[in-house]
Amino acid sequence: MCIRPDMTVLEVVSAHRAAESVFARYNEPAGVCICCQALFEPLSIVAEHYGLDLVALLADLETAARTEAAPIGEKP
Amino acid sequence: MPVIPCQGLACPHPVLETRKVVLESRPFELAVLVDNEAARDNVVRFLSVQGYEVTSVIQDKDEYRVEARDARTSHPSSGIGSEPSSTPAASTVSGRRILILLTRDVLGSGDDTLGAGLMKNFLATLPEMGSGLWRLVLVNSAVRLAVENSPVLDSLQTLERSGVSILVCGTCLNFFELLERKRVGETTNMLDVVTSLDLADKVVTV
Repeated sequence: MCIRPDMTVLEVVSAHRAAESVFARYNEPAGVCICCQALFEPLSIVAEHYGLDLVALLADLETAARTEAAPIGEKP
Repeated sequence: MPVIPCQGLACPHPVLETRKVVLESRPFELAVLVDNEAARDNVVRFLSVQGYEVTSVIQDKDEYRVEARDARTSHPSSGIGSEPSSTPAASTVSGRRILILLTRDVLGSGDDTLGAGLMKNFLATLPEMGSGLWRLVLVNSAVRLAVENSPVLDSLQTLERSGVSILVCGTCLNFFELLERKRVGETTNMLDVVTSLDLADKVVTV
């Protein structure tokens, strides 16, 4: 696993471009724009605070990170 | 001064664009243009954590111009610009940035009733430190100090109003199930804590 619960939303989206769309999918169940309201929060706190399934969130982010073309800042 | 135009960009892109510039060139001064409050607040917080002093936030209709300068280095044209960037410089009137790392909700060990009283007195007396007092970081049981009904809440809120930054460990609040009860400070993460320790000129662990 490269996505850990203690990573902040910003750390994740900085490293993995595809993570942004994952967070966007979770905006509705969270009831807020996660990247707007919780950008500096660890994923575990985001899940706890907004009632999200942390295991599912981590799995979705992990999948997105693995399938994206290349991390930001690296050549494909 | 480099200007980073982020109008029309949704979060997290204004912060990502700012981060890119800071990581690549770390300009002494910069300005970021955004067009919503969330982006403004996130850019301000990001710059603060990165050791920038936000010097102004100017609103023009629906746009905000966030201006900041590097609090860790002297201006290149000031005559002392050869100072290495790793040398912390004055961001406070006294020229030092003192960080207090609070790791418990009581002061000292031996008797917690006495320790609670000492902590209350300590926080009430902290303003005597003057403008050098830059930031309090609350971790582990110290996060209990920042929640409703805390006996030191008034002291912490007074410090915050005077300009002292207060960071409260989010993982710790979560552990003690106090997230919803926090009444002072910003919920923070370990990256912010470590960055703060790096930026401080002096760290006092209590």
